[in-house]
Amino acid sequence: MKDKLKTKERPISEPGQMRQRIAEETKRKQVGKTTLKPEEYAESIVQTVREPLLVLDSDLRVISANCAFYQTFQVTPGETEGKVLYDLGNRQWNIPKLRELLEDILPKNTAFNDFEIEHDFATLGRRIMLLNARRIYHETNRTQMILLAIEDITERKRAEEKLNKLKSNLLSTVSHELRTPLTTIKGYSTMLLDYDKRLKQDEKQEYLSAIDRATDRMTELIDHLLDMSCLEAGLLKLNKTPTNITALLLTTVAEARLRAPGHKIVLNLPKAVLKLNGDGRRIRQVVDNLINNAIKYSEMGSTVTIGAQIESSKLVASVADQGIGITRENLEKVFDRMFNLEHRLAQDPGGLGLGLALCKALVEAHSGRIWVESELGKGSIFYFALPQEVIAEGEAYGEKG
Amino acid sequence: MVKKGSRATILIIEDEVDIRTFASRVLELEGYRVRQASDGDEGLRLARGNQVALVLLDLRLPGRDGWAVLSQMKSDPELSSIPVVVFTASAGALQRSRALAEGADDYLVKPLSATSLRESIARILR
Repeated sequence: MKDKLKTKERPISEPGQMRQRIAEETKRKQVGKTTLKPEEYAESIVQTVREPLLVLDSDLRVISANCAFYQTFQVTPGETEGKVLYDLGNRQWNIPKLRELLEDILPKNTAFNDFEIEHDFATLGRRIMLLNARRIYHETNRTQMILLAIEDITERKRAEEKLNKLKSNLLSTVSHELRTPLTTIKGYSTMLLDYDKRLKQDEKQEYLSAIDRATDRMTELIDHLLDMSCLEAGLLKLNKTPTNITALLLTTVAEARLRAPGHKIVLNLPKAVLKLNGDGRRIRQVVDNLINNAIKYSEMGSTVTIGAQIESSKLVASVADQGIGITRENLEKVFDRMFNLEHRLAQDPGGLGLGLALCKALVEAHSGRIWVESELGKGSIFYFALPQEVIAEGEAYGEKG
Repeated sequence: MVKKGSRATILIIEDEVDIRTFASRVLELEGYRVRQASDGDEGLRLARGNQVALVLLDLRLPGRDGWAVLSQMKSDPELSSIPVVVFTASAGALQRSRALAEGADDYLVKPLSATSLRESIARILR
């Protein structure tokens, strides 16, 4: 029994054996099918691979390189083949770390994997590369060859670093922005508890209102974060229904006036009722955000003007302020979440800088467009245009959300 | 000589009006005199010639931030002896050790109860 097993169904125990078998099989099949010589077959693989590959002899002379190598390092086969690796292109490959890998590590092992080296190249500048190498025994020539794969990971590394920086920025901004209203809540509530008898009634009312406002601010921050992550995950669904925009604007503005008694908030509406097919709650959110920004970035006592009208079957709404304004080069960028995180100024009166990014996403989800016109020191006008979808005659309009 | 204990003057430099009101009301109720500034420049101006016994300093301020105020105070012979209590929403341990190394006497992280605020101030002015 045992012998039979050994001879006929010998299990493949070593991964090396397995790999070799697969390689042989593949080679036989592929070569058979396409009538390629093994060398040509190998060469075609090398040329197909998108990362730069070098085939070196045991003296580290280049036997061949693939297209990706020539493209990435901006060299020609003429100045590459037959040369010792270290002598290539003004000796730009004469890198101590690479020498160590090829001359110390590789002779003792059959391969090395994922070695990262950073090097200043004459033509390319500072690059970060990921190196993988294998020693191969060439049976016909009875010589050793080295297959060296060089992956330029500079851009990837930079993108990763940028993303990590943004993530930690976001985290510290979120933490800071949540702590500020929490400080108001904790401070005033402990003060009310500790000094209850010594505080006058109207003073207590004032502190309780501040606590109330702080909880609203926290709720808004959390809502923004949740909406943003839903948007990014593609989970935001619009609930489109016939919506009375006139009524929506009237309520939104009435509430904004209560929130910001220090500002003059004006609403200009045409006589005809404005209506469209959209997600009333989300449109309301956009208007709310724009009004809150207008208030945040302008002086007490200044005017915020909200307008809306139909222009060539589009509803165009605007929110104008007399605030600090936006520089020309930042007009587009204010809608970019990353930009707002990176360029938060100490002057920023709070918030995560997610509001406008959210507005843009919500408007675009309605197949609309959002933009801003601004003059530094004079104020900004934010516009958004939503297509007015045809709604069947007689359909009821009700304010949503 | 600056008067210590009750009736000593405390300067609060903080841009958030609610937080400034909270801190100043608690300290007033504890018997201190309070001066308030909403940015770093105003804070530095008030720190001079007002017999300030202690400065309660936010780090994130418009214009000249709390770090700049701290280093300015510590390098000015007229202001360097005034104790500074940093009051900030930045909870990092690195920031804390940096603030203490740069001469702050205490590092309070927001949010903070009325008790913790008055105890920190009382401990330093004892």
